[in-house]
Amino acid sequence: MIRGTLWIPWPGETLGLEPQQPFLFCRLVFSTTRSEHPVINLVGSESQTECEVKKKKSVNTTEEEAVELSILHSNPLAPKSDPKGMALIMVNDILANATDTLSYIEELIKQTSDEQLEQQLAFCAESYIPVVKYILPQAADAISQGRFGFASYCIVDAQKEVNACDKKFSGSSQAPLSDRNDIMQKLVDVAAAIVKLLLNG
Amino acid sequence: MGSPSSSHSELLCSYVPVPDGPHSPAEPPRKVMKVFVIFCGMLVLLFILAFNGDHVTSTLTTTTNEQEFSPRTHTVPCSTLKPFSRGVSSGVSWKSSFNNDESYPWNNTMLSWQRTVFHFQPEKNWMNDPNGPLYYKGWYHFFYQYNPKGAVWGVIVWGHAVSRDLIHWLHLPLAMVADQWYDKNGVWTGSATILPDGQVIMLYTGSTNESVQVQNLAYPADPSDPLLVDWIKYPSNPVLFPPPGIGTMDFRDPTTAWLTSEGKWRISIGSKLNKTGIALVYDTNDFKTYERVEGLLHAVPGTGMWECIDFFPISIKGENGLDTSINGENVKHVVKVSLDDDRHDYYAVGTYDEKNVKFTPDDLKNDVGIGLRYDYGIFYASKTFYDQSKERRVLWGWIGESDSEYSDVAKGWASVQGIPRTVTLNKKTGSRLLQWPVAEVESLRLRSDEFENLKVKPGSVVPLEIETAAQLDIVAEFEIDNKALEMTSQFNREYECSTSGGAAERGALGPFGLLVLANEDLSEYTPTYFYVVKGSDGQLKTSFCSDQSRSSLATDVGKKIFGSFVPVLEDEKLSLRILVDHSVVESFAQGGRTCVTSRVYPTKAIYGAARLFLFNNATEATVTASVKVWQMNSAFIRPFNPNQRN
Repeated sequence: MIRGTLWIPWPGETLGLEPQQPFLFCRLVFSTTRSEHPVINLVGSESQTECEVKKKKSVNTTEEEAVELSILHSNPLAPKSDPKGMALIMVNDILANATDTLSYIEELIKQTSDEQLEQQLAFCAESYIPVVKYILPQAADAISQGRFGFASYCIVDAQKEVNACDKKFSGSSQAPLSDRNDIMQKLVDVAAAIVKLLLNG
Repeated sequence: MGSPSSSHSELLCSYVPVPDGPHSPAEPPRKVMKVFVIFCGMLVLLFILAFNGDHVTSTLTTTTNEQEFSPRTHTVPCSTLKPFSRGVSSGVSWKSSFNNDESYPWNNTMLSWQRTVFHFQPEKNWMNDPNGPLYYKGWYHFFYQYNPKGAVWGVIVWGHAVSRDLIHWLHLPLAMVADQWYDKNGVWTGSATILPDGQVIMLYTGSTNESVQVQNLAYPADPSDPLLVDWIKYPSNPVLFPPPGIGTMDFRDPTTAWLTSEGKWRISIGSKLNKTGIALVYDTNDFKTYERVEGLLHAVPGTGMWECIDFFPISIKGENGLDTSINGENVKHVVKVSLDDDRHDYYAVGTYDEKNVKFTPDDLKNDVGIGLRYDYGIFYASKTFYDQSKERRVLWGWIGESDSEYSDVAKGWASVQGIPRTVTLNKKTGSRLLQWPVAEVESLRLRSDEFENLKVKPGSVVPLEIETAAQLDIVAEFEIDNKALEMTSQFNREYECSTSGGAAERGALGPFGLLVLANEDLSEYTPTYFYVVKGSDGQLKTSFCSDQSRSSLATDVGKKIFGSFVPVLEDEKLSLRILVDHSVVESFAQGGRTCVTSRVYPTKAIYGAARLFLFNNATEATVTASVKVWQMNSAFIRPFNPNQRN
């Protein structure tokens, strides 16, 4: 089992920065094996007062992966066992991440003079644009309307786009997006698992 | 195609397969990067006798060698199908010219192999024209003429599917059915217009309860639904009736609308006057009331009824597509029609004079309906749309069947759609369009095998060792040796694919190319090839053909040879691309200057028995070929099921 905590930045923050304010802590523990979808168990929240931010990197130890996820929530009204609310928060978080990544890609494109890198980045921009413009917003809409099946399709589509972008760099010496893509993948995996929970009951 | 470690591999002999019975040479279990020919001296064949040591024949007629090339002894029936007219009452198959007594003993194994895996088709039944393609809120939408009741044409309704990438489709519920008096006999072809404010307008032809062709308006019931599942027919339909002087069954297939400089929306509808195909023009502000514009957008005598008109701008300088309303400098226009009389799609590039509402082709000798075709094989009722997300113009085309109605009914389906193609103006040749499968199809590519600089001598067949051969993306380049080009005494022959003897008819500089969906003993194979002829002025003229005459041992399938001339510029190698997807083969020459789509129905060259060969049946020229072959994954086209767990 891999035990670690993935820190999901609140919308507006870029990765790596410390959060400015304390947040409510709501924890989901889920485990994944490499080939299976994440299984989610709601473990129950910590106290509803201010807590520290846990920031640990996930470490590959054995075959099974378990990523302990901390969702930082500044809204004290969000009940701890509201998977739909959590799914929405997740999706909006992913959207923020993706939007940020898209700007990052566009910056990189402006800065690079390496033609091959530019092509790879342009491909990634083309992958991320529909994710930001349509796929994730539609997923969010669908979740709030209770259309979990459609949300599930959207999330899988987002996954495919991120994957396609990542694959563009396989074998290349430079892969400036691998960390970000990696985080996106993990976030999307979690979102997919939550939506699957919703779909099943 | 370049790889740093390439070297010439010379063929040591003509590889000859046995026609009687299966022959399986030992195959290396792992992937072979270069092809080395192994002497199989014990298999001497009629084939080798036919081609080794054969010398130049200067006649066009095929020699007895041709008979030896084919093990079958009965004559090949000519599949002259009666032209299909929608005036026929519903449910009647247009294939009644096939005599069912001669039908081949098809079995389920053979029939189920025919289904494609990455071309769009509904789960079952009959499909024809593409309708109203569009991109909306992150989804590509595709609608199509569909018969929910069987695998033959009937009372047609609109099927619907969506995709993120024009390749992976999800089937949705039927968009429109024949539930109004004005489309009781069929919800026929139509086009979508997206207004600047994002509204989606659909105009389509209805065949009324009295078989009169009228135009109707429909729009999404819920524009906030990205899947556009539900549609509303405008309560005051029809919005257009056949005008005076136009036949009530000669008025169909409204185009996408384009904005005039006066701010009105303009559409065109095809028709005919006697034997002259014509394009009528209407203006509207709200898509509900229309005024007929005097005159005609264009007309060409002798072409007959113009179905499925398409009218769009094309960029002269750039590589992007253009929104349908664009006009101005550096823009030309294309008029495309489907000719009812010969079931082919023709186009012409020219200029659109908006003020006088007139289209003038650049080349009157190749006017609409008498000149260039999108595709020289089976490709009809095609329609483009402007994809604003990727700024390209994308072409859909209906690929019908060329087998018997009996087979269609037995296998439970008929027709596929072509892989969507981007359409651009070929800058190097001027008035010709280039079509190329959308880049997204490449996401289906799995492992590849590359064969570089194979020297293929006259009269040889080279097996290309790849894993399976029914789902392929093939890219190949060919070069004829210069000596043969200079020295050949054969010149000034006229060559036309359709009247030729196909791949069995030998010339000095052709045919050569690939044999797809071939079996080991070559009792079935489908050649896609180039045939080069030297003119009296020394100029070379190249044809690109797809030969179905030996695609199948079955007697009740199409046996034609499709193809056409393809312009090849100085210093260009001959290049082709072939998408093989079970019973459909789409071929593109010189980057899409000439395209040929065919349907093939092998009985033996199926599943694991299908193979791929390189061949050179020329008599004088040695050809150097480089081929890259990808295995293609399925697109897993399936119903959209929101309740399914992934």
